[in-house]
Amino acid sequence: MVDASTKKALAQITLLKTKAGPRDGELWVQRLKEEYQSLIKYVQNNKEADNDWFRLESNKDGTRWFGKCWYIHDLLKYEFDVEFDIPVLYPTTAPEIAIPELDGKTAKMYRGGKICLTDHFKPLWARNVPRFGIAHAMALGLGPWLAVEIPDLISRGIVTHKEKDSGGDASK
Amino acid sequence: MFRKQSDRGRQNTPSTANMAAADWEEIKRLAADFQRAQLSSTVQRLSERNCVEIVQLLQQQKLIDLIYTTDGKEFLTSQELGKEIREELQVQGGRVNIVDLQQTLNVDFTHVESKVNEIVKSDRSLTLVLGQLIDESYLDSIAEEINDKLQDQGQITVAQLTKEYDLPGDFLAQVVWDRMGTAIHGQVDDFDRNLVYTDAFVSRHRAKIRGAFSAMIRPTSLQNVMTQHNLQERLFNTILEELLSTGRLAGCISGGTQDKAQYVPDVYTQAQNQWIDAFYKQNGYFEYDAMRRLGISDPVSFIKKRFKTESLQYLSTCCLGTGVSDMIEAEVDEALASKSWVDVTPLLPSVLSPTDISQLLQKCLRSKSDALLCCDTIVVSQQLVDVCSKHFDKIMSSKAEKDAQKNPIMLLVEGEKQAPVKVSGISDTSYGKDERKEQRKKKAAGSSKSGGGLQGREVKMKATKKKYRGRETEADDQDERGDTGGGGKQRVQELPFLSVEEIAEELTGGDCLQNCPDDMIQEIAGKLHRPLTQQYQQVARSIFLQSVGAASSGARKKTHGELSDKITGLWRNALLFEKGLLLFPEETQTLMYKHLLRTVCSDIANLIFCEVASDHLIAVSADESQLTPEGRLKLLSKIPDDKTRGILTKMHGSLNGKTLNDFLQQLELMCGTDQLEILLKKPDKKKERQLVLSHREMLREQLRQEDNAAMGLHLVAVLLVQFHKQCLLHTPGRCVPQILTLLRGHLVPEDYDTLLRCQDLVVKQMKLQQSDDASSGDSSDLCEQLNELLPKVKDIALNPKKPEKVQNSDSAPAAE
Repeated sequence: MVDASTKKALAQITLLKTKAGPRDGELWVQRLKEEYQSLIKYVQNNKEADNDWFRLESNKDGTRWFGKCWYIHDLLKYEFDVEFDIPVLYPTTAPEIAIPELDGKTAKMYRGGKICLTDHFKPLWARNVPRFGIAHAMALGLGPWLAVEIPDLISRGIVTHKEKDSGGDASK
Repeated sequence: MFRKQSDRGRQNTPSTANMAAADWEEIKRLAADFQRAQLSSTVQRLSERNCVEIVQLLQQQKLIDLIYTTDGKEFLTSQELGKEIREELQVQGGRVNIVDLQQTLNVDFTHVESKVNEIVKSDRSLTLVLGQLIDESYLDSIAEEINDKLQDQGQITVAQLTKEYDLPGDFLAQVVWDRMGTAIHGQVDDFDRNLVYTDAFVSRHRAKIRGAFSAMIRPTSLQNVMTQHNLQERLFNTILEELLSTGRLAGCISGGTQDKAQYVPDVYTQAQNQWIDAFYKQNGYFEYDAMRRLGISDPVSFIKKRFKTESLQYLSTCCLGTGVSDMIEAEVDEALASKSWVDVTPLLPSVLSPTDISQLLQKCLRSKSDALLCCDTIVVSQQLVDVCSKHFDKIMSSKAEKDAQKNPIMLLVEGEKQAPVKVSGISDTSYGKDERKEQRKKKAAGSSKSGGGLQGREVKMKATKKKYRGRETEADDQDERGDTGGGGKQRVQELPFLSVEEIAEELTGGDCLQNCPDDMIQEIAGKLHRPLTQQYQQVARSIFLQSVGAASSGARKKTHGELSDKITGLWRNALLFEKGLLLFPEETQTLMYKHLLRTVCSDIANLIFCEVASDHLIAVSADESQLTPEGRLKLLSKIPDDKTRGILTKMHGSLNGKTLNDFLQQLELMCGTDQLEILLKKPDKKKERQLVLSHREMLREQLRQEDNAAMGLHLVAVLLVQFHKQCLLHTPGRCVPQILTLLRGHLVPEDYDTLLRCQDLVVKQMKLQQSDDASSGDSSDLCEQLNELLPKVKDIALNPKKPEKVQNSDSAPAAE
């Protein structure tokens, strides 16, 4: 189950209204607008809470999203690339977020680096179609996964800290 | 708005491409916004935990100095604390309690306190009083308040202020003084620096006091005035003093202490003095009670102060002027001169108590010797009393005669008794006293009733002594001396003349004391009683002596001489008889001893008993010679002196003994110096022979006149024994046969036979007399025979012959 801080963060993300996928033309635009608004709100919230943990951008159509996410453990910042596509059946189907560089390093991952979301995520998402969007997926999916998997991976020595460049990134 | 436009546009123009382009534009913008949002710097936040750690680290490295709040959630620098304290002080209006500061600032008390001290040191406008931080503005504000109040009430004390502002008096006083004349308009009291008042208030007070005291016409307690007019004590005293000293108020303050102080107006004092002067002028005396009623607490000293020149007499209830005492003296003089009496009570003011009067009279009578003071108030001329006592002369002589006839013994004893007492008194007084003391001790120690009686008398005597203190003491002392000298007994023996009541009655009836108060008569009677009784004793005695015709001391000596002669004679006889008695065998001796004791010795004993009895004034009913053993016993029980009684008891017992020794021993004791003082002299040979001879002559004489055969035979036997054995004999009649057997060897046989025959006849006669049934013939026959024999027997005794003589002249009895 999601923890209290997650829940709080989730509640502060604005909900979406339009139920439209990439193939729905104008409605998708509408949907995309809402997605952006929601994301902006979420990022703002995170910044205010000093809890900024990712960067995202999309292609022109808004169908493919990519960026970075990071996790701070023992005063060290571990940064990973993150990417995902908006599925055709979106928003009924949730986006499958992937961290390609960790592919094969953990069991909680599908082939191609797609993270294994919790059992709770999917029914929760299903219940909240079309109100949940990308921001929700990030907050409910990737956030918790990172919190659980990264310390484990670090302790197992699978992930190591990349000295200079990551530090520079973090400061930026 | 943009979106609305587009919506409208969509509705109005069906051109989708246009719309889509617009939407995408918007998307782009949003994406840019998003990127911007993502790239904007995050707010840097430290978690609380981290903060605490950082601060701790900093403190450890001594980079910063911080103060924790009490809940530990905040840190303060000391500058911040100082600032906060100042702010708090301002908020609270210039006065704040450090404890409150600690609570509001939520900082530990020690920090607050040290900081406050620091601030107070650095800032002159702040003060710390009783744990409260106070600044100048606050003091200014309270000064204003105080001023308002002062103007309102007229006066104010620091104590009041203390109560109101809850600040120490010294501090407040300082505040007030500092602002006096600036913020506070008033003046500080000169005596009490803690008192502040306004000028208006002072003048109001002055007016009140002036008014109140001007109105007074009688002494009033200052306390009362103060409470009644609600005056302030300090101010009151200063103003009052000022008013008195300037003469604005006429009066003075008496009674030193504050509580009891009284204001006495001059008006009142004048009135008082006038009244007293008037009273004295009118009556000639002062009455303390009346003066006390006027409010003079110490009249004597008042009078002394006021009438220094007058010679006054100070008594317990009043004080007399010379006028009154002169008058009394004149009255007394007159009474004395006229040989009468005067009661001064009606002449004196009624307030005088009897003791006062007596005091006064005693002073008055000091110079007059011939005056008596009765009942405290009555002066009696001594001459009057003398007259009164003369009145009794007649009664006395008549009564004395009666008494002399009634009980002369008492008088005699009284007369005789005086002599030895006087002698002992002369010879050695101290000894006499000692003895007296001893006697007294004995009597007190013993449970005897007489001791108690004596004590009782003493008490009574003291009482009377007190009563007649004064000019009577001398006489009384003499009286007492005579009394104790004679011992308690003598007093008892005094002849009563008349009781005090009787004397009083007599006086009332007499003509010299008419219209006298009863008390006075009683007292005169009491005074007369003792001298009269003494006088009576003399009168009675002289009358008795006249009637008896014997001078007391001579008679006494004579009787004592007679007694001693008698006793000595008898004692000598007894000794001689004892010698004779030794001739006989033992059985006869006892008989004879008994006889001797019963006769001669009993006589001696009786004599002694009678003498002792008369010494102790016990009436002896029977004549001394006929005292029976029972009579003696009775006498014994009456004798008060233990020692004498003991000896006499033993003597009485020895009379029933079998030998003379006991008796003689007691007799010697009895005749000793402290008893009868009789000198027992043993007779010498010559005297003894004389005695024997005289005894024989006496016996012979008796024999010649004797005509009873039995008695004659007895006498003959005794005479014969004396003749032949040169011994006196005293025997009972029963022993005649034994005597005859003793004589047998010394007598001519015929004589002896004659005596035997006579004896037989006598025995026969006795028997006949005892049986009483004897025929008259027999008895007369016997009588004849005896009468016949008697001369013969007598002759044997009267002309005794020695046996050898008998052989020579045989017919001698026949010739007779």
